[in-house]
Amino acid sequence: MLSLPGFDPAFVSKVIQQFISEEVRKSGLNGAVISLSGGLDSSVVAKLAYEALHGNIRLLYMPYRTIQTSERDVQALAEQLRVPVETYPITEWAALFFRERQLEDRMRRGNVLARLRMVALFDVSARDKALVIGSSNKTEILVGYSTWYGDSACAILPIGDLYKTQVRCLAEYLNIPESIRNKPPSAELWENQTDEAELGVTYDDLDRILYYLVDEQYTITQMVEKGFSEEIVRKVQRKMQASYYKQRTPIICKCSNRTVGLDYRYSKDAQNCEEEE
Amino acid sequence: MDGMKVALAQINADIGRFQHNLAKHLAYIQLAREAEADIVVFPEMALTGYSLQDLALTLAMPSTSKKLDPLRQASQQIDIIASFPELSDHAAYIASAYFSGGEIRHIHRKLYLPINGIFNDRKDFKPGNHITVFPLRDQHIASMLVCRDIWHMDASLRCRELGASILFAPSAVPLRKITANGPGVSAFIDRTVQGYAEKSSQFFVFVNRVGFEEGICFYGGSLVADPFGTVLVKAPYLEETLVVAEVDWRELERKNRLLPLSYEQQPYASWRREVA
Repeated sequence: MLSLPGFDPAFVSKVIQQFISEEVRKSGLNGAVISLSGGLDSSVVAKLAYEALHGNIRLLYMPYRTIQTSERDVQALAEQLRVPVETYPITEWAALFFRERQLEDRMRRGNVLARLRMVALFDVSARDKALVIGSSNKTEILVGYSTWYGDSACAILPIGDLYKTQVRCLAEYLNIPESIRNKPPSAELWENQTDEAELGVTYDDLDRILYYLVDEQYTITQMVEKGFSEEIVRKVQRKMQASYYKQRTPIICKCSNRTVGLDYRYSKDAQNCEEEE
Repeated sequence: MDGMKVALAQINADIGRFQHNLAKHLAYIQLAREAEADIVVFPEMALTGYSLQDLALTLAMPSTSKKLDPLRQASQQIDIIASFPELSDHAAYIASAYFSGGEIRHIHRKLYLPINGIFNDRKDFKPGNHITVFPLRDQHIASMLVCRDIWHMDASLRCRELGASILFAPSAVPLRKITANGPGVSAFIDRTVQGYAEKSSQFFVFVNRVGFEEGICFYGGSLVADPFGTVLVKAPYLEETLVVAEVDWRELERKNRLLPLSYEQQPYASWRREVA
């Protein structure tokens, strides 16, 4: 069976750190803010941002109820970085919302939690003039494993082109605390939720399938010839197709000659364009 | 020694900030002079940034533009190859200009405008329509290609047929496919540069950009190969820097003594496809 090709974590770290520092420079903001969950992705992003911005980062931890392992892991990372963590529990806020809206469905509840965190995160961004750095990885972006305008809301995604298994490799290189690296990935939106159980496939398998479908443009027939299960490959492909919408800015109905998002094309960096004399 | 010193200015650029980018060019020209270089080469579109999209015609300037005067002036002291969007006949081209003795003496307009993946060149610019050669200050013959031009064998073949001694390729090659050995795209570029230099018996100067434009990283790794395909100098990845290569023109003759590929050239032979 094919596996992901080799990967140079030192080189990738350097690229991503340069990316973070350039994006913060071009935004004109003062450093960055990252929402920590205690998980692998936000820990890796925090560490890369810390290095890139010479410590000029804010770390925000927004627990719903208290999950002791997460709190422990957030503290472990904060101690390693020697950056204080601002803790803002969303428990009461969420409880009020759930009660008033009579919300029982766990998926809806989970999405509300992600979006409440987004509200608080962007408020810290406004308060401290800090760029919001997101922690989504390529695997979850491709299969849409995120809350739209919840955890997916941010200005930049430093690890958005790295598969989960590559983030693991990077985490080891970056010496992320072991307790963070060794626990099963979870969005922690409800008790005992794990990514792999919810996705119905392990990250090892998922990443391999995505890599050969997306990065190498193999056809499904070729994938099956290479030893992948047709059923799983097709399932992954359906998840990918169902997520295209999440990867876009909102679709505008074209009425005029030039339409934002379609044929009004400017690099965001052109905000610093010099005025013509 | 019959040779010259070529400085490769591997720099970053900001979109639409011409004065900012020009100031950086002038600073690197100064560095190149301190290194006693004869010519300094800048990356593709480093005066305006690369992904101009709907700004292409706004930022394009005629080669006679006063905005380029500081470079013309600086070229009294040192030859310069710099790249910008050129406005000509009300259209924009991706241009690379050779400044020498206070004026622009040659312009190459990018021929192959990529449209795949992240690229929009063909949408935003008009393609150039010719390749030619030009004499350097010391009368050696040079040619220029810009970035994607060097991926196409027919473009490099023309430079070979025209008999240039050195080929300059200002570029903006984005990073893709990071492997265990660094940027995968660099392996392709290095093979292209070395293979071309060796087969065409010319010096090849590839100058890449660094920095980011909207998540796209230009990886650097600029290099010079000699007529044997040997790398004379290679700049580090991801770093703004100036590296200098010593070009020894006598190597061209030594190559021809050992393997006179250029003698064997048949530029006027015709090729016919006959398939039953």
